[in-house]
Amino acid sequence: MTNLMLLVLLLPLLGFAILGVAGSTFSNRAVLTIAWGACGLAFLFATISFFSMLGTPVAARTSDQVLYTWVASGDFQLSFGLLLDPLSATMLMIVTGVGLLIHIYAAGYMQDDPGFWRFFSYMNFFIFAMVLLVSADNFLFLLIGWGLVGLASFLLIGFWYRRPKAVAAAKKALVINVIGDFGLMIAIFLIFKEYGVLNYNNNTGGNGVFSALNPTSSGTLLQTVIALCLFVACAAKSAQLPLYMWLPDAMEGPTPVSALIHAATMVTAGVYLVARAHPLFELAPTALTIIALIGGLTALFAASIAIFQLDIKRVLAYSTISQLGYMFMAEGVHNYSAGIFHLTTHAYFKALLFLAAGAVIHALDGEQDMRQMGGLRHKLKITFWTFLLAALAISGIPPFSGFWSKDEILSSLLAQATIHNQPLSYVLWGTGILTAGLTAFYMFRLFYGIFMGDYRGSGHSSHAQDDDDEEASHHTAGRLRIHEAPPVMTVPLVILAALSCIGGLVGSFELIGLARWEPFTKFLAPVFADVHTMVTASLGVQWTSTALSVGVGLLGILAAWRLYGRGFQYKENHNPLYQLVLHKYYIDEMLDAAIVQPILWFGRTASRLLEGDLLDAGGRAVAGGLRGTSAALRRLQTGYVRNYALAILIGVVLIILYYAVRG
Amino acid sequence: MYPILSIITFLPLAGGIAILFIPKNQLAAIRWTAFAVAGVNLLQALGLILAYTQANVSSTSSVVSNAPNGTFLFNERLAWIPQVGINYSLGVDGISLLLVALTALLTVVCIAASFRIEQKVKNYMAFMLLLESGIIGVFLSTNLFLFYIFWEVMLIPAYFLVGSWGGERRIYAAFKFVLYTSLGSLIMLAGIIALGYFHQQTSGGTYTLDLATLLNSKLDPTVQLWLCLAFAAAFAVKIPFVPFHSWLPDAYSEAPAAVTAMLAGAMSKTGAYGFLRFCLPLFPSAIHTLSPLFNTLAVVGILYCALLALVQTDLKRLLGYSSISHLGVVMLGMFAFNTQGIEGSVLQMVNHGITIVALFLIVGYIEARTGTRNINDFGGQAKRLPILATVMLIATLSSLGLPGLNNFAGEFLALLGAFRSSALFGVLGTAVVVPAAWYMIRFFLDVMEGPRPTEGPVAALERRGKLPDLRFAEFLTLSPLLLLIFYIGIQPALLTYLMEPSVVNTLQNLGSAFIH
Repeated sequence: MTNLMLLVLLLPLLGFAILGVAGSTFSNRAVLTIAWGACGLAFLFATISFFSMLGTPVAARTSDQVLYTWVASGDFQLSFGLLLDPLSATMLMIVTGVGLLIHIYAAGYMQDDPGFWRFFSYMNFFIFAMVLLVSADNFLFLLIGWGLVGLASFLLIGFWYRRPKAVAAAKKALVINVIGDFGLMIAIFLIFKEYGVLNYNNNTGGNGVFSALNPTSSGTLLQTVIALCLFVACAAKSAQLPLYMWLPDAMEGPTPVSALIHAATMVTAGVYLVARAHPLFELAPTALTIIALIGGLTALFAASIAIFQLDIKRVLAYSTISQLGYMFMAEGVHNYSAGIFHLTTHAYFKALLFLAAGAVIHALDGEQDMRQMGGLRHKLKITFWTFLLAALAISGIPPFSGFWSKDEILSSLLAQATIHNQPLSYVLWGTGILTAGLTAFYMFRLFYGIFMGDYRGSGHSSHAQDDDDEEASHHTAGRLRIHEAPPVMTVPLVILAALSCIGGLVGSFELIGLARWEPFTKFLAPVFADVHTMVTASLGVQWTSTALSVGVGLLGILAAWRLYGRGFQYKENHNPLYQLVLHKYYIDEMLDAAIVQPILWFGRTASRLLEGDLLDAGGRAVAGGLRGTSAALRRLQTGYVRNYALAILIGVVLIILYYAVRG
Repeated sequence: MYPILSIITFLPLAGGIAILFIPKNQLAAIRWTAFAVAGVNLLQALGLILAYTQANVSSTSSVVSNAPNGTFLFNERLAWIPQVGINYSLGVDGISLLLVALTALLTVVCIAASFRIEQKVKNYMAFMLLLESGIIGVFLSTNLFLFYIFWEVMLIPAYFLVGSWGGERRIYAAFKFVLYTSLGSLIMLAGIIALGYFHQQTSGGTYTLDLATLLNSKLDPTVQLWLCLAFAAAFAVKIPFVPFHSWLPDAYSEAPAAVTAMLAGAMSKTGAYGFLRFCLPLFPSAIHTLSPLFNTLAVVGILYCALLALVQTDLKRLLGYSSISHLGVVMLGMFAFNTQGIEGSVLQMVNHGITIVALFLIVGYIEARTGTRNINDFGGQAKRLPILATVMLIATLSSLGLPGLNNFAGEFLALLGAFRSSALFGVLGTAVVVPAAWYMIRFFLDVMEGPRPTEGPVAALERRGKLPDLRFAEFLTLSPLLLLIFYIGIQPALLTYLMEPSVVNTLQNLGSAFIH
């Protein structure tokens, strides 16, 4: 079973290597054979591992396959191993499965791009990095996966490398992700200093961080600091306040990349890390409270921005940030499996939303502005229906997948509030409910804007090309023929739509009287067996929360229908509050002015004053003095400055001779 | 017995002298002879590594005390001027072993990259080989006076290589370089002589400058302090520590690419090595007293130079500042006084050598094609130069410490060590990863990506289609460095395995309370 893990890890790496070295000489078909083959086989082996795990007794489901010693330095000894347990198995299924669907879809989307091979080699690399991240058995290789995922996103966001916006976005993503890496490094230093190891060893026995913890102790300040440092990394990777800025800009990459980053891979890493390191977080209740708080704040904040965005991918980007906030809220109240559950359903419907949006953009020759859309329900039938299902899923309408997971999170929050009678938890729950309403509203605003009403575009391909030469890909000027995407793109849409519909049915059915049906939670239970602080929601609490969340969801849809049901109409609005939200609270501008510009100013000033004038002038003064001396010596010596070096040697020899004679 | 250390040290010098007898219009013969000499020396160095592993590291590396190994091996010793304690004595341990191998490798690479030099080829190649002899001599000397001789010998070819083959301001740059370094060296010379004197005073024996004997000195703490500062003067300039770095941006940017690569890759390590080999074990009490100062200088250098690198427009100056910043991490790890810190430090000396040479050579290739290294003249060149862009990206990622590549391994260990001994310095040092990612990715992006320039030399060349991609020979030159970037990143264990016993020895001499 564990040998298959190695293949899951290495096949995408091999695909990347082959395509990276020789891909430019391959036909598109050959490129696809390798890229799909690598990702497909990885998915196959992940599936086999997953199902063989289902067939083993619960106690024997965790294994750790040690591969080699990375470094040994004094008492710091680190070996790399692959950890397979229910949590990593779940993550592997999502990463390779959803990843594969996106690989398939991208074959159609990127068909005419001259960088076809390059694109797929990066995609395979992304899968490899993500597999490494979720299957590493220690914090250091987690960090390596963490960094490589950051690199993969950098490469793919900046895929169209001559577009200034894409390059700027790639740079931003990399630098902000490195801030996260910094947090993770400090956390690792602290963990090693405190526990002397970096292996997790949740259940595999032996020496590990988590086996060194005493789950019944009350936790120390140090553990809180470690947890918060880890969360800095999570916030950067999973785009939480205040490190979310890179994600909306990441839209500059090709749309399948957005789907991959937003759904299957990158942003889920933070949620995974908190779940993986939960024994530490459990000992740091303050950190968990902060996580829940930031999650709630981010959920609401991002949803409020999504309401007014006009770029369809940007709406989806902010919705991702918002949904990730839900997952952190769940983890903040100890319900890790609910967080992972929402991660899973979100992977289905968010991948679908992005791929459907991609199909729309593809049909409109690169147009992403909602003002130029409308009425596409007739021309893009499959896209229309699948998008609708995904929108229902994210809006938390039963029985679609998002309902089950979001419901579980909100119930947990309310249960935490009622049982511990914490005002803060009430506020968080209220935030969750409010965000659910906003989510339904902006999703259906988007839905109506794209598909309903009449077509508002000019009918001409108007998308401005930044590329100045033959790189201009499938976007050609002229009359637009709006057409449904080819099957290679629609089949993944249909599969993801099916998953968005039924993917939530592995959640808890307690509400409808089947208290023992909760396969997802049960599957993950061994991983979270040590969590005793999670409160279970009573049926009454569940009903209250569910009724309210579904109610506000429907209300949101209704409001969107009232406003945009007959098509989206854009009106200029100079209300300052509207402008504030439209411009994303001017946070990018503020950070630029408050951090980036001062740093650059310091560099330039130091360069001019300290380096240029002070040090250089000092050096020059001394040099001038010596040059004067050497000029004086010119009559005695050969007189060339360059012989100065030789003079030293002569001096040395004289000294030796002096000592030799004297001694 | 085969005097392998002497041969490794003097073969390049002999080769350099031999080259002087080749007629000066036989360019190919000169170049290939130089390459062959450096190549043979590299093979010797690899042989030395093998021999060393056979002779020394028998037990697997583990904790501390039961490691009597790691002392100097293959010792050679000839009395020279014994009256004043001056002997010709060489020896190698796990630390110098790696640095010698690094120097031998970098010399081969830099000589291969110098085949494009057209002027005074004979002198150039002879100086390059002399430089190799000097640097290797520094790493292998176990007598302080011999060390000083090599230290100065190193300066001579470096001076001429910068001053004769450099850019427009080469004379100024070379002069400044020599001035700074030789002022430092003279202070060190005084320190060396004084050390012998004070050793004689305290031990009551004879005057000696042999390292092995001096290691047993029990010097008065005040004396240690002054001697340590005298040694540090030379080393701090060479590394360099801020604020003794002013020579570096000029020298690095004016010298030809391959020379800059040698200076940054190999010669800058002699300063760090000097600290590790001499200051730490000879002056333990002074080192403990001074470590807050050195740690502060290291951290200031790390962060300050990273910020300067952010705003440079000259690609070579940018790399120069990045180099100071990286060497700061080397020093921070060293002054952690624990196994991870020092091993990370040595590992990082090797890694920095590999990566910075790749980067400087790449900038050299770019400059050779376009005649400019102003970052604003470029943009989007990945289109025309896909292979060069890929290679440049790999080196860039290595330099910014991407997890999984070589620099990450070294930086991680060094910073882990630093953090263990002082959380404050550890955190401050680690914080550099953010500006480092920023300036290095700017270095790559502004050249290879983004919109292409509409005017300037690069735009003109592109329009005429005269911008050839990396040639095969150039790729071959870089390939050993690229391989090591990956290999050391994936498994740094081999290097730490080789150096561990010697690092533990150093720590024991230091009397560190933190040997773990």
